[in-house]
Amino acid sequence: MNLEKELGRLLTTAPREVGEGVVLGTGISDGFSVFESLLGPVVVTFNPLGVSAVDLLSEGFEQRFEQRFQRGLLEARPPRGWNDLILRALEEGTPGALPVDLRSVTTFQREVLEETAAIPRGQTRSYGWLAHQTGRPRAARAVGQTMARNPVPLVIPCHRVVRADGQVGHYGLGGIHNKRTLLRVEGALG
Amino acid sequence: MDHLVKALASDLDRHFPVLVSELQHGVFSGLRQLTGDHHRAEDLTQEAFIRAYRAMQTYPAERIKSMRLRGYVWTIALNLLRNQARAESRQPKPVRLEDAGYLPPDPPDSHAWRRRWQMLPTAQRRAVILRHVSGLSYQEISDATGRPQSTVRSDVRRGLGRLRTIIDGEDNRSIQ
Repeated sequence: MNLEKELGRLLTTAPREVGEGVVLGTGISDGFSVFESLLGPVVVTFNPLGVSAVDLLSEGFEQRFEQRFQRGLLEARPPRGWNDLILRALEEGTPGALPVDLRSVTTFQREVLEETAAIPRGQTRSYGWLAHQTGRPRAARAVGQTMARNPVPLVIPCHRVVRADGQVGHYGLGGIHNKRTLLRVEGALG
Repeated sequence: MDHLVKALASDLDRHFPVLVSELQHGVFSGLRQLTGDHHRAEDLTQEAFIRAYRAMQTYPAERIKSMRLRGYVWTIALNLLRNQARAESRQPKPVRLEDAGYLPPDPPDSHAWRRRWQMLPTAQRRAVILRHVSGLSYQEISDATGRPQSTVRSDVRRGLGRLRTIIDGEDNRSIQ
């Protein structure tokens, strides 16, 4: 046999996971997978620190992500074990054991989002209540802005934060109609 | 590679994935033969590239422009292999993605090759794999192993000679 030729045949293609893992592991890009949700298909993005964003699967989601997070996106399977955690988080509307990457928000916003994550399914809280909880009772408006900046809607249930006068208020993930749908399914809206 | 070092020097994040896609098959295939294990090779390949990226992030553009990339990545890969043989703990951890649910087929005659490689001294095994599986030049192997080019050439020559003897022995045995 021609030995050099035989050795050459041992050059194989690296599995896809290698390149994906490198790009994710360096932090150059986040990975994304598409999941089903009550609001239809959603894009869930992730990196080694956690889930970084949730967005509706619609034209331009990659550009929106790049603009906001200054990183690229690459379609990939989630880190091992995260698939089930993501499914459960989307279904229950709380992160649970799923790590969330909140580097994209300020310290205050992070505190607000952590409080938001603890609002039980089937219940709602007002912007003012959250402001109070985070020790800045007059910051209801800043709380509202935080909800608009929530990078991981559905996983951190900002849809459970409503206006004190009973109106549901704004919702970033496809508008107020979606917020009503979620609250109705959860039994928080008649 | 010349065009790529210039591009990496100007925008590392944008061009590093190109470097990965150009080198990953050679690095993975070489490590696959050196370790005899698909998953270990996958992890080591990832880790070598991630380490290369982190180091290059700290280098000034001029330094990146003068790099010999393939030898550089392999230097890291061989170090990892040595360290891993000593201790199983390693940083950074590779990003293990959800399983695709299948393992790609092994390269041809995996079992036979694993046995053949074990019969070669380490330096010859490395030199032959880097030269003839991963396609490195003698200069690049010298970069990666820290051995002079003349020594690398003789490692490759002797390694090939030894492999021929081993394989001839197998053929005789199978005929009997």
